[in-house]
Amino acid sequence: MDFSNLIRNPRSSRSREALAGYLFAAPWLIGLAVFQIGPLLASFAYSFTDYPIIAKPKFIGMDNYSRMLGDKLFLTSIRVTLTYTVFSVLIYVVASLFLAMLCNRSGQGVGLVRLLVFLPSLIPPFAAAVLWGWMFNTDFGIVNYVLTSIGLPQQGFFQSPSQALPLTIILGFWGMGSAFLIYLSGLQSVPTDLYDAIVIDGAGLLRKFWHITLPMLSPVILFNTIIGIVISFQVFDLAWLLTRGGPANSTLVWVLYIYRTAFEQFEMGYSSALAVVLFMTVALTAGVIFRTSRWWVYYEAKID
Amino acid sequence: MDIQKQNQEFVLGQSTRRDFIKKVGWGVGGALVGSSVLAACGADGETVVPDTTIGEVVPAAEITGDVSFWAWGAGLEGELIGKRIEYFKSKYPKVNVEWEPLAKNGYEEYPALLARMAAGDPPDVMRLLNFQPTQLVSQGSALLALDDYIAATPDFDASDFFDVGMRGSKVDGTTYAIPDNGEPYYIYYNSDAFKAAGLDDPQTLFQAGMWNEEAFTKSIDALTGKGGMKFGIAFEAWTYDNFCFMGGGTILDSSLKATIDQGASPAMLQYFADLVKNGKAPSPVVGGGAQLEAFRNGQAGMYLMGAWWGGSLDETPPGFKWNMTGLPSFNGVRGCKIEVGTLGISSQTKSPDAAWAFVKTLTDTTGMVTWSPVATPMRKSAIEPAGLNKVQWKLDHQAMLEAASFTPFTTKGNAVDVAVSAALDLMWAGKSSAADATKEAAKLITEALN
Repeated sequence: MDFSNLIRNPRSSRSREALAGYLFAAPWLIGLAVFQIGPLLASFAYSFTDYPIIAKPKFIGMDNYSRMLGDKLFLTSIRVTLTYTVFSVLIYVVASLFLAMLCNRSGQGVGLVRLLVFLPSLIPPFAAAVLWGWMFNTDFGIVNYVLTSIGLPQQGFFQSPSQALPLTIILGFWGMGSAFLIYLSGLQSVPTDLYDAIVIDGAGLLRKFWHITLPMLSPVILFNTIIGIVISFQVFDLAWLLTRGGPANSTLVWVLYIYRTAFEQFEMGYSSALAVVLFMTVALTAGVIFRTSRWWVYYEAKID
Repeated sequence: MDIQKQNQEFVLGQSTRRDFIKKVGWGVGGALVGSSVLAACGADGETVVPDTTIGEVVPAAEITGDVSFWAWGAGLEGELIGKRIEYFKSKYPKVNVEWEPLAKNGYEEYPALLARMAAGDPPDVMRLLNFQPTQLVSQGSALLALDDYIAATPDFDASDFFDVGMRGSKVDGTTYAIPDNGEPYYIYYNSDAFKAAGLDDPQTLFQAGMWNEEAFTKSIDALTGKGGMKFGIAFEAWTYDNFCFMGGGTILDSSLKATIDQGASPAMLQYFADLVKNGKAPSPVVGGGAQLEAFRNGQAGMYLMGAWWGGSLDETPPGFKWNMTGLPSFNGVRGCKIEVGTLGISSQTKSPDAAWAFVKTLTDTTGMVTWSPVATPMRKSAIEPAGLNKVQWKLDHQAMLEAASFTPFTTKGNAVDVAVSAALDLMWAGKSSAADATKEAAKLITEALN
């Protein structure tokens, strides 16, 4: 490297390099600014207004935020979303890890099993929702047909306020293919000599999992947990396609309530406030998990 | 900081992480403050309605302008829209019409319409449904008031429209849309199944004034679980207005106070809830077409649905003879819900005269007769030329149009529907009585509207 040029004219050389970098990144930066940051900032601004979409926004200060505190439907949507998130993330993180561990071996048929586990995640949510809607239809679905054939009572499923949300959460099993793949590659990168060493010490399956597998996989678990939380908080398609938030608001998730408020009630200002609070909640949750990760995530190569 | 690091920074010009975070923080903070200030400086929310000319008596051939028409319609419906536009062009050759066919219906395309209005590019003429004119007018004065145009048009006879259609086109007494079609609700029935069960034909009973609660209940009981049929009747939960109107009940009164928990409504809803509870009707809550398919597949002897569905049954008949008739009368009262379709003109249109000419032509007698194979006309003068009194499955249309009603529209769009549906879901699931569910519905309606 020619340091003499840098020392003679450090700023213009750095500027040229920086300019070239920015030019190459410009398309992505413009897209980020126009389609992500711009709407985010606009949403934040509109959250302080009364904005019925087809008329100009009117500044109302913090009214939208104070309205949320007494909005029963909003509180219902928080409760439903939190329930969905907690259980979905558990399924996403725990079940996919369990399946990855089962498939982390060589042998006949393992490839087919891995494919079968991954395949459902390729099905578009709309198709999955239509399929599940029909399978679990109260009067004409195959599941109730089987249940009643063996003498069990017919179930309400998506027509029952107590069963609709659990079923929607279980449908999330279909989306864990990507987490499964990430775990699988993580498991395969755990050095085998660590297992050999602990076996020599007389460790069984549980100790191997607790002392080797979990710590080595902890960065992957962190990643999948964060992704799972972000995706679960923003669930909309399943609730919209399967139940439209019913029955009796038992599947009224946060984003669905935002949609309704904006495009059915014409309250873009209030829905923007709801969206801002959702964004802050997700950011805060992810931030807390990142912060606490220092106590439970093990990085093999630490940077001092 | 040591000398080596200082020199390094001077030579390579690296800013520290702290500097970078400072710069980003100032940038984002400035953007947030700036955007908030911009929002605060926004207009006070009032729209400026442009001056529009009152329609003078101008010869049709002299009217010019461009009219964009926002409407859905595929298959036969699309063909007939095309024919109506051709009819208009034959009368107004100097007006350019651009039809923007929509992929989905007016409810599903509504957000797209709002987005266009927000962007300042509304279509000139819009095909609207039910509460949409009320909401568009009260939220943003988005539609042109038409009373002056009506008064200045000698050949426009407002009294020729069915009263329910004109009521659905007004907001606070002012006309903002013109009725385009009105779809009452009917009972579609499997004629073969009725014959096999030895039951009287419902349409014959209707014509004789004997299609009432007794005959209806008798039919349901006779059809349920007989001849391979699982249910006597199928219906959708979102058509709950019909259940109340059939017995003379209401959802809201004219002052928008909730009345669903009073009068005949709770008892009527309990009647239909009991049909589901006793296995005579499938669960109506989650649609997905299951109830419709139950009728088509011969698993339900009757199906309660809007008039528009007759056209699709005609196009793709099921595997049995079918017919349709008006809703049965309960408590000596005949009533049903009507879906009101209207044509509205944007208050931002640059061609108000051309747009008015378009709307009044499409909704004149000829325009409505052209439309009638797929849409129930809202003009009394169109009933006979449209053959409604001759087509077997349309015989009862006029009677139902006269008996039809709708829940008063509010500025909150479908907030009443959402509130009532949430409350009645528990009733349909058998977890609440109609009395309790309607009390809850009344409470939710009051909260939603205030």
